[in-house]
Amino acid sequence: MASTDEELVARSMGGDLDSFNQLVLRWERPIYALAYRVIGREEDARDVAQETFLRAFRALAGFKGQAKFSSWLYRITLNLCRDWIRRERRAPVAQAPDGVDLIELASAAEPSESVEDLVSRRELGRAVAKAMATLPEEQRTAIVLKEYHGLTFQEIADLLDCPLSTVKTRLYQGLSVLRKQLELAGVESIYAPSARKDRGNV
Amino acid sequence: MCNHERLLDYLYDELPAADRAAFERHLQECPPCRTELAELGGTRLALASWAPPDSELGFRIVRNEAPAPKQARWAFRPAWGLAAAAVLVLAAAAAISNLEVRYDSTGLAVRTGWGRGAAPSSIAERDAQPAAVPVAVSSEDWTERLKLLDARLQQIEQRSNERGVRAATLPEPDDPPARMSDADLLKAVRKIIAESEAKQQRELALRVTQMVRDFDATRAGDLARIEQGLRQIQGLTDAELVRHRDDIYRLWRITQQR
Repeated sequence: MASTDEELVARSMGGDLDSFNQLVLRWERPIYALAYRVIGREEDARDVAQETFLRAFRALAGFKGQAKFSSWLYRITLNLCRDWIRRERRAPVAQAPDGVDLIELASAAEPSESVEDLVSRRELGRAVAKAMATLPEEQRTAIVLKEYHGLTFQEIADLLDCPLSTVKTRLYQGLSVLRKQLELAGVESIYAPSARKDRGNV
Repeated sequence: MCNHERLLDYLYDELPAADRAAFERHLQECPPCRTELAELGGTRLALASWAPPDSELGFRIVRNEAPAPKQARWAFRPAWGLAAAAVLVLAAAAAISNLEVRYDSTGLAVRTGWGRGAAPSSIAERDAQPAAVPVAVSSEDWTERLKLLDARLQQIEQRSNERGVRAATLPEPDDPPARMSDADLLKAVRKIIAESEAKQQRELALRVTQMVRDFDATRAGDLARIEQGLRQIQGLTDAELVRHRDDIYRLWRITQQR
């Protein structure tokens, strides 16, 4: 049976490097995805993810278990993303590089999905990335944490050190802007109300 | 549009069961809320299509067991700067006190130059010392010798003057040979001193040249050592990179197998 995060953290604190590397293996993809969706650049997101684990490893003695290990990692990542945005003084890149997300989508596609669906999904993915890039950082972060990482509103509020109502306002405003942007891009029609039966969370 | 907080709670399934039923009843009676909910649901579906590029990760924390090479590069600098400063100070000192300074791999050597190859004056001959002596002892020695020489010269000059005056007023038959002898001695001593000075100046020039040559040779040696050190560091870094790449590749293979 696989060890829990808490068990691995405890062993890591005792100097077991392998246990920490198991945590890295377990969390590197979500951390990279979080960084990518917040800053929008693959290379930089990878650097941020790597730096997250380095910092976590160095600061492990200071982790008292007051939050979940993953929340602690998220906090480090978001701080690094904020530093990156401040340093670059710009909004994230509007879309993924050509050809890259097609491969990703092909592996994620349902077996029954047709090529047409795949292409329209890819186009929709690009449109979403573009629309997300126009949002203020705090709205984008709230949406990413909720939609792609499944955190509760309370967990997001704790992570971002802000009231619960602020999180909900940011999320609501962000989603409203996204909806308008997607309508302008003409992609909302792909998901007509009748097609909503397969609504998923990731 | 009603309370968006409750709408979001419902949308993300975070509404307690009791409140949920109440909110669903509200939805039946509130078309704007129904529309809002449907649109937000559509937006969430669109969001699900955005995936990050499948980047190769495979991070791993490794213990850094050999941190030495990076520091070694910096270790050169203070030592080199200090040595250069020391040589400059000593070169200036040597120009004043006729020292021989040598800095090489065995360390810093300081030698006095006055005793060696000095003109064979009576005093220099008497006090001739081995060349390698500490600086402080040598300068005391030299001061003492200077004082002796000075005293001797004054003595001779005084005697010569006395006799000169006497000779002018009271020429005596026994005196000329003695007076001649004193004058000759004075002349000889002055000549010896002049020769000694000239010789020492030549030696000083020679030693400065030699010191500059030694300095250059040492610098060239140090530069070669630094270059060799840098090459070693480069080699180590390359080896480490290759190791890291291999590790990442192995890890990737393992993930692929899984």
